[in-house]
Amino acid sequence: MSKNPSWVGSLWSLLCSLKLAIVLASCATLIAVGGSLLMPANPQVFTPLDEMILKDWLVDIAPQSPFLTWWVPTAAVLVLLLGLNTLCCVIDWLLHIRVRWRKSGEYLIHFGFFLIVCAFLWGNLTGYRAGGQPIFVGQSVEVPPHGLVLKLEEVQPLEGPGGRIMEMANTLALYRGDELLKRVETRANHPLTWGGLVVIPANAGQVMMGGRLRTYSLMTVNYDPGANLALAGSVAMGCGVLFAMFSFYRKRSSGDHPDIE
Amino acid sequence: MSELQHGLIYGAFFAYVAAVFLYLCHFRWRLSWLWRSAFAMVLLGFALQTLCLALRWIIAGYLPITNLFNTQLFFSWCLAATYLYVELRYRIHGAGLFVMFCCLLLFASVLTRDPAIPVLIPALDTPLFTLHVTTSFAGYAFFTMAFSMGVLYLVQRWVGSSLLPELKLLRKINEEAVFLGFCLFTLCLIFGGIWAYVAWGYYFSWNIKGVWSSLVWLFYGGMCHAKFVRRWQGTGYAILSIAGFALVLFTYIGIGVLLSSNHPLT
Repeated sequence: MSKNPSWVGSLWSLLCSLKLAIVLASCATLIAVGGSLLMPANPQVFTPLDEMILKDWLVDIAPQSPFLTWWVPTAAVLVLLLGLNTLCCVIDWLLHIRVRWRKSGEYLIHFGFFLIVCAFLWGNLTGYRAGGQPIFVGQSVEVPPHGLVLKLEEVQPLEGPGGRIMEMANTLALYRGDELLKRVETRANHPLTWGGLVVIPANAGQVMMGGRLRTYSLMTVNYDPGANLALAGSVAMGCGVLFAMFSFYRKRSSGDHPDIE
Repeated sequence: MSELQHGLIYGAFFAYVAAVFLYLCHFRWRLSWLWRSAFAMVLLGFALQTLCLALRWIIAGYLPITNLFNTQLFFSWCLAATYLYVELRYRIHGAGLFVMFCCLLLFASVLTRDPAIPVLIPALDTPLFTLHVTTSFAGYAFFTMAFSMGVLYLVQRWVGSSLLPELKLLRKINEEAVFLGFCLFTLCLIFGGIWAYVAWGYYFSWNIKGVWSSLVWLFYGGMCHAKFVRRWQGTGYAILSIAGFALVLFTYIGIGVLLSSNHPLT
C-alpha cells in the first residue's frame, strides 16, 4: 500500500517533467526536419495533405508510400504526447498556484498549446475538406454534416484601381430547411463561416448551358469542428505571451531571476 | 519621391557601414568616442531607414513587405531595432556587431533590387498579413541576436577575451533574445493561423513553409525550457542558439527562395 503513492508520484513527476518536454520537442523537431525535406520532391504524396483531413490522408495516401510518409504519424504522436505533457504541467501548476502564480503567462501558453493540439486532433479525425466544387448562380447544394443547404445567389466582379478586375465577390446563403442561417458576400479573406463550416469561393467562370451563358463558382467547403477550440487556444496563447513578457520585464527589473548565477 | 527613397536607403546603408567600421576600430583601440560615434551612426541609419519605410507605407497605402526587396528592407530594420534595444539595455557596444553585419548584408542585397512597390493583391489586403509578417521578422531578428550572443559566448568561453562582455551577461542576453523571439514568433503563428483559416479554410498548412515555421516554434519552445536544465545552460544553450538560427535561415531564405512554397519571396 505504501508503494502505490510513490509509484503514482513518480509517474506524475515524469508526465510533468520539463526534461520530457525537451525530449519530445527535440524528437518531433528532428524527425520532422528530416521528413519534411522529402516534401518538395514528392508533391503527389504530400500536396493532398492540405486537400483532405489527416485521418483520410493516413488511410488513403500514406500507406502507398510508407518510407516517405512514416515521419508524419510519428511526429504527430510526439506532438500529441507533448500536448499531454503540457496539460499535466498546467494541472501541476494549478495545484501549486499559490507559490507559482507569477508563471501564469507561461502556463497560459501551455494551456493554449494543449487546446490547439486537441482542436487539431478533433478536426482531423471528424472534419472534412472538399475543394473545387462547382456551384452555378441560383443553385443550391447540400452541405454535410448537419443537412445544411448552401446557395450561390450572385457573383459580382470587384474592380481595383484603373478598372481592373481584382477578384470576384460571391453572395452565399446558408439555410437549414427554409430557415436562413447566414448570408455573406464572400471575397478574399472574407469567407462564409458557420459552426466549424468554412466556405471559400476559389475561382469563378462561365459555361454555355442550354443556349445561355451560366456563371459558376468553384467552392472550397471545409468542416472543422475544432476550429473554435483552436481559436480559444490561440487567444489563451496570445494572452499568455503578453502576460509572460510583462512578467519577464517585471522580474528582470526587480532582479528576480534565480537561474542566472 | 523615388529619388528621396533612394537617398534614404543609401543614406541608411552608408551610416550602417560607418557604424560597423567604427565598432571595428573600437575593438582595436578601445576609445569611448569610437563606440559613441558608432552608436550615433546606427541611430542615424535607423532613423533614415524608418523614414524610408514610413514613406513607402504612405505611398503604398499598406506596409510594403510583400516581396524579397521589401522583406529584406524590413528585416534589416528589425535587426537594427533589435541591436538598438540590446545596446540601450545592456551597453554591450560592439558585441552585437554580428547583427549589424547581417543588417548590412541584407541592405547590400537590397541595393541591387528593384524598389518598386507592387500592387497589393486582395489575398494580402488584411491587417492579419501586416501583423503576421511584422511579428515574424521581429522574432527572426531576436533569433539572430541570440545566434550572435551564442557565438560570442563560445568565443569568450574558449578564448577569454577582455574585448567581449562577461559570460554571465552574454548568457543573459542570449536567453532574453530567445524568450522575446519566441514570444513574437508565437504571435506570428497565431496571426498566420487565423489568416490561413479565413483565406484557405484551414489554420495549419502542410506546405513546407508551414511545417518549418512550426518546427522553428517547437525548437525555440524547447529552448525556453532548456535554460532551466543545468546541463544545457551556458555552452549548450549557445550551441542551441546557433542551431536554431540555421533553422530560421532555411525557413526564411532557403524555403522562400529555393523551394516552391505558399510563402514565395521572388
